Amino acid sequence: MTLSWCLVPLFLLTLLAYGPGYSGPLLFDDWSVVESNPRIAIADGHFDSWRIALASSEAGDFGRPIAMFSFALNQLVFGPDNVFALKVVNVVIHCVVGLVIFVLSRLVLAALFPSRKQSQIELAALISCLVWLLHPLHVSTVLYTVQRMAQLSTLFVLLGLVAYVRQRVQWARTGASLPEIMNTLSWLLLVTVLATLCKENGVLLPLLALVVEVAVFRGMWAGRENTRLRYLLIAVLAVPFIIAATWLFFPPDFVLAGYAGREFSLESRLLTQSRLLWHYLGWLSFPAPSHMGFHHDDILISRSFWEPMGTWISIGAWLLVLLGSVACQRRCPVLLFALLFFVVAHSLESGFFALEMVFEHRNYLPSVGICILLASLILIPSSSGISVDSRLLVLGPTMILLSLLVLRTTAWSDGITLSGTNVRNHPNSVRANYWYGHWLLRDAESQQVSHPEAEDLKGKIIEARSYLISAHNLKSNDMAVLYLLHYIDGRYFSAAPERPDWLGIMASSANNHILSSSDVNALVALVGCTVDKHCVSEDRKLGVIIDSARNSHPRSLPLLAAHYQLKSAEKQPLEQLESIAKRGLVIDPTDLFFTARSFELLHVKGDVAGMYRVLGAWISSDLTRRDLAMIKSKFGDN
Amino acid sequence: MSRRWAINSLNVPVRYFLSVLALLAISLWVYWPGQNGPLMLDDRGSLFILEALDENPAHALDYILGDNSGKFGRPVSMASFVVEKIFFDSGIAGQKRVNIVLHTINGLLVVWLMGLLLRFHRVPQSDWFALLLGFAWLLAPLNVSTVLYVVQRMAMLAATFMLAACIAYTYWRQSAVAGASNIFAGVIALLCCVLAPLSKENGLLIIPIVVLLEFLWFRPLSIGRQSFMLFRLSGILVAVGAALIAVALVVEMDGIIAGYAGAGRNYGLYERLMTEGRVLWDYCAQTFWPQTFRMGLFHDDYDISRSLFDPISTLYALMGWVLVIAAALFFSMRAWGTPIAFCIFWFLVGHSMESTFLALELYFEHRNYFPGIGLFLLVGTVIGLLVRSFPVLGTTTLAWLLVYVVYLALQTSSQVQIWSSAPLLRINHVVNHPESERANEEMSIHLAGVGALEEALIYMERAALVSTRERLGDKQLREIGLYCLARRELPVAHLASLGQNNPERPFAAVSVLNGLLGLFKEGKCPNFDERALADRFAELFLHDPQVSRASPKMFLVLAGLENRLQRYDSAYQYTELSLSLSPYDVTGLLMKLHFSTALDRSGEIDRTFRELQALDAIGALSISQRETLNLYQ
Repeated sequence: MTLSWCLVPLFLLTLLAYGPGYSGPLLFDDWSVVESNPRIAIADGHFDSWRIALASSEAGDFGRPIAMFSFALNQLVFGPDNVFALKVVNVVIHCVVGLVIFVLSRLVLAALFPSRKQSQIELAALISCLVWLLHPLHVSTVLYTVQRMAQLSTLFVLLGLVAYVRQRVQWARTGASLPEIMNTLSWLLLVTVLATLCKENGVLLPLLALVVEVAVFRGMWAGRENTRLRYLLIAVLAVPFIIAATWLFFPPDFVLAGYAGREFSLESRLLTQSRLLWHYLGWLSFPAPSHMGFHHDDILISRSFWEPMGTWISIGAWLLVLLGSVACQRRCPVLLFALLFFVVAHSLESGFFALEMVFEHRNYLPSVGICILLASLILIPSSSGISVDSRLLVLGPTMILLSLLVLRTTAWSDGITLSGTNVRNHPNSVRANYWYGHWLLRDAESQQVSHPEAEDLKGKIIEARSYLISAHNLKSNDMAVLYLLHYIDGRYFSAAPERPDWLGIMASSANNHILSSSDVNALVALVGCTVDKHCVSEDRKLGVIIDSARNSHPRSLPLLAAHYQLKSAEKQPLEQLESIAKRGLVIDPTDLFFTARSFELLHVKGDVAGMYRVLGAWISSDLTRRDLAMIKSKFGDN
Repeated sequence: MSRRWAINSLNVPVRYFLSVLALLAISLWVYWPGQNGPLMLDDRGSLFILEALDENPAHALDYILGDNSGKFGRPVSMASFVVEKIFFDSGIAGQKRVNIVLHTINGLLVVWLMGLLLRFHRVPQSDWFALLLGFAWLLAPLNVSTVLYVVQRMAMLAATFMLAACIAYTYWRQSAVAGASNIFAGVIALLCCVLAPLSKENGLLIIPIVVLLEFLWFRPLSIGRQSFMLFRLSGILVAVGAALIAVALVVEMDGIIAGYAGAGRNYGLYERLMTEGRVLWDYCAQTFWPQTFRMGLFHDDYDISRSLFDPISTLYALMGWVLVIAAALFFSMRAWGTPIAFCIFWFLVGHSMESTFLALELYFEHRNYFPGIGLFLLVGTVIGLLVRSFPVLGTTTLAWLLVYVVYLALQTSSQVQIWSSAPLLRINHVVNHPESERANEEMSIHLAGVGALEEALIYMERAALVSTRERLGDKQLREIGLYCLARRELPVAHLASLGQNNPERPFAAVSVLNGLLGLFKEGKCPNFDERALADRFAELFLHDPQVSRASPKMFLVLAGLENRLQRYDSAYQYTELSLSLSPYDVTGLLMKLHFSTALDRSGEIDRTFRELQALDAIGALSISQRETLNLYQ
C-alpha cells in the first residue's frame, strides 16, 4: 500500500475538522455575491439563466464566471438559503486542492531531490499536503463562502502546474519537439484562462511556471543543463518585476485611481505589504490561532521607511532572504522555489493595486510553496543519516494542526463566537470591536422576538454598546460604529439624560474625512433605519449628514440612493424624486436601484413612453446583458 | 490485451454518440425560448396569407406554387408552411419551433459533412473536430436571425438540401472511385440539387459548390481512373461555369443596373459591390467573434461605400478580398492548400448570389447561413492540417474548441432571449441601430400599440428622416396607422394635407396603405372615418385620373378600400387605372369583373370574363382564382 492511500483518511479528517464551521454565517461579500444576488437564482430552467448567473458578479475585470457558476449550481442543487451546503462544498473543494498539492509536491520534490527514494518523496508530499489542508490559516478562506473564487482559481493554477511539471520532468530527461512545447504552452494558456475566470490571481499561472523553471529545473534539458535556456527564463521571469520597478517611479493612472477612496497611498501600501508578507510567513510557520482573525485593521500602516521601524527591517530582510536563497540555490533549491512561489503568488493582491491591506485568504495559493518547503525538511536530515519514524512525521503535524484547526473552525461556528474570538485576539481592531457589538445586538434583538421575557437582553445590549464605544474610541470617525451607537441609544436608552450626539459627530465626520465604502454603507443603513422608523433621527441633521457626504462624494450612488430614500420618505413631489433618479442614471445608467425607481415613478404617472425610454437606456448600457431577464419581465405581456 | 482494445474501440463511438446527444440537447435548450418571439418583416407578407387556408384547405396548391418571392417560387419552402398550417397549426410559436428543429438537423448535417471531408484528408480525431466545429456553427449567434425569423425557413431548407447533396455526393464519389456504384447516394444528391433551389434560389449554388468540392477538396487524393475523370470533369465545369457567369454578366449588365432604379435603391451597382466588400468582412467578424449588440434584423443603417475612399475602410476591405482571393488561387495550385482554397470559395460562392450584383438590400445576417459553414470548415481545415502534421496538438485544440463552443452558446443564448420578446427585440433594434428606418418604424408601431402615441410619432419622424425610399405621403399614412393603433382621434388637418407633397406621385410604398387597410379589416380602428380617407384618395387620384400617379398595385389596394365602403363606381375606376398599366393582371381583372357585376355593366362583364377565360386557358389562374371566375359563369 502506498502512502497515497493516507489521503483518504486525511480528507475525511479535514471534512470532520471543518465540521463546526458548517453552521457559521454568511459574511460581508457573501451577502452581495451569493445571498442577495437575484441573478444567480436559476428559477425558470432557461439556459440563459445560467448565462446571467455567470455574468452576475461585479468583482474583478472578468466577472469570475466559473465561480459564479458554482454558486448558482450550489443554490440549484441544495436550495437557495442553504449556507451549510455552501460551506461543505467549499471544504470539498479544499480537499480537492489538497489532492492536487500532493501530486504537485511529489513532482516538485522528486525533481529537487532526485537522489531520494520514491517513498521518502511521497512521505514529504503527504506532509506538505496535510500541512496545507489542516492549516488553520485557511479557515478564513474555506469558511468565507465567497472565497470559493480564490479556491477555484488556486485549483486551476495548481492543476496547470501539475500538467506543466509532469511534462517538464520528461523534457529535462529527453528534451521536446516544438509541437510538444506548443502543446504544453497551449494547455497552460487554457488553464490560465480558466483560472482567471475564477479569480484574477489565475493570471499568475505562467509566472509560477517560470518560477518552477528557474528554481526547480534550472535549464535542465535533454539530460544536461542548458545555461542559455536558464538565463533566458530568468530574464523572462524578471520582466514583470522590472515593470513593477518602473511602476514604483511612474505609477500608471489606473493604479493610482484606486487609491482615491483609500486612507493610504501607493507608497504606504507597498511599504506595509513588505511587513505583512513576513506576518503571513509567521502565521504559516507558527500557526497560532490567536494571531489569526478576520480583521487585521489593527496592524499599523507603514507611512515611511522608518515609521514603523519594522518597515525597513522587513524590506532589508526580504532582500537578504531572496539574495541568500539565490546564492544557495545549488545546495537548497527548494528554498528559492518556496520563496519565489510565495512572492510571485502574492504579487497581484499584495502589490500595487489599491486593495485592502490584509486578508488571510491571500495566502491560499502562496502557502503551497511554503508547505512544500516545510515538508522538504524531512528530506534534508535523511541525507545526514538521521532517520525519523515516518508515522511520527505524519502524525505529529497532523495532531498539532488538527487541534489548532478545530479550535479555529469552532470559532467560526456562529457570528457571535467568530466576532468574539476576533475581538479577543485583536482588541485594538476597530472592525473586530464593531462586529462583535453588531453580532451581540443582532443576537439580542432576535432573542427579543423569540423570548421577550429573557432577562439578559438588556445586559447584552449594554455589552454590545460597550464594544461599540471601544471601537469609537479607537477610531472616532467610523460611520458604521457611530450609526450603531445612534441606533442603540435612540432605541434602548432614549431616556438617558446625557446621550452623546452621535448624529452631530457623524455630520462633522462626513465633512472631515474620506469616506470608505463601509462608511457609505453605514450612512445608507442609517437612512434606511430612519425611514423604517427603527431609528429616531432628526430629519434636518440627517439631511445635513447625507448632503455633506454627497458633497465630498458627488458620484457615490449609494449616497444618492440614500438621498432619494430620504426625499421619498419626506413625500417630496414626484418631479424631485424623478430628477434624483435621473441624476443616478447619469452616473451609472445600469444602476438597478435608480432604474427600478425611475420605472416605478413613470408607472405611477402612467408615462408608458417614459417607461420605454428607461428600458431602452437600460438595454443600451447593459453591455453584458446580465439584466436581460429583469428587463424582459418589465414588459409583462406587451 | 485484445479485450481491452475491444472495450476501448467500443467506448469511442459511445462517447461520441453521447457527446452529440449532449450538444444537441444544449442547442435545443439554448434556442427553445426563441419560439415566443414575434413575426417580423416579410413573415407578415409571406405567411399571413396562409391564414386563409383555414377557410379553404383545397387551395393549398395555390399557396405552394403561388409564392412570387423568387424566380422559382420557392414551392418546397411554401409546402413546408402549408403542411405545417394544415396538420400542426400551432401559431407563430409552432413555426419557430419547426425552424429550431430544422436548424439542429442542419447542425447534424454540418457535423456529418465535416466529418466526411476531414476524414478524407486523414485528419486525426476528425470526428471530434467535425463535432465541435459543427456545433460552433449551430450555436453561432449570427444564425439566430435566420432561425427565429420564420420566413427564413426558406434559406434554412435550401441549406438542408445543399448539405444533404454534398454528403450524398461524397458517398456516391467514394463508391464510384472504388469501382462500385452507389445509385441511392447519386439519386439523393441529384434530388437535393433540385430541391435546394426550389426552397430558395440560393440553392442553385449547390452546383458550383459540388463542382468545387470535387475540383479542390478531393483533388489531392485523386488517384485512379474514375477519380481523375471526375477531377477533369470538375475542372472543365469550373472553367465553363466561370465563362458562362462572365458572359451572363456582360449580357445582363444593363438589366442589372436598371434593377437598382427599379427597386428604388439609394445606391448603384458599384456602390453595392464596394459596400459588400466591407459587409463580407463584417460577416466574418460576426461569425467568429460576435458583437451581439449589433446583431438583428435591421441593418438598413449600414454605411454605404460611395467610393473607394468613402469610407476608407472600403479600400482596405476590397484589398483584403483581393488578397484572400489571390491566396485562395495560390492555395488551389498547391496539393496541401486545395482544401483551404475550397473553404474560402465555399464562403465566397455562398455569398455570390445575394452579396454581389443583384439589386438586393445591403446587409442581412441570414445570408450568412450557408456560407458561414465554409468559415467553420476553414478553421477545421487549417487546424486539421496542422494536427495532421503535429498530432500531439490534437487534444489541446479540441479543448480550446470546446471552450469556444461554450462561449458561442452563451452569446447565442442572450440573442435568443432578445428574440423571444417582441418589445425587447424592437427596443434592442432601435437602441443599437438608431439610424435604421425599419427599427424606428417597428418601434413606433409598437409604442402606438401600447398607447404611447406621442413617442410613437417621434420614432416615426426619425424613421422618415433617415428614409431614402418613402415620401411624405407614406409617412402621413403611417401616422394615420399610429393614431389608429393608439385608438386616438386623427386631427382633421392631417387628412386634408395627405398627399399634398409630390402630387405627381404622392406615395412610394404600396405596403403602407396595404397595412393600413389590414388594420381596418382587423377592426383595430373602430372610430376611424374610412370614408373621409377614401374621399381624400379620390381627390388625389380620381378627379384628374393619371396612371403615372401610382403603381398598379396601389390602384388595386385603393379599389379594395372603395369596395369595403361599397362604393363600386370608384372601385371600378381604380381597377381601370390599374389595368391600363398592367392589362393581364388576373387579380385586377377579377376585381373588374366583380365591380362590373355590382354596377350591372353587362358588356364589361362579358368582355372581362372572356379575357379571364383566355388567361385560364394558358394556365395563368390559380385554383382559387378559377373558382372565383366560375362564380360568374
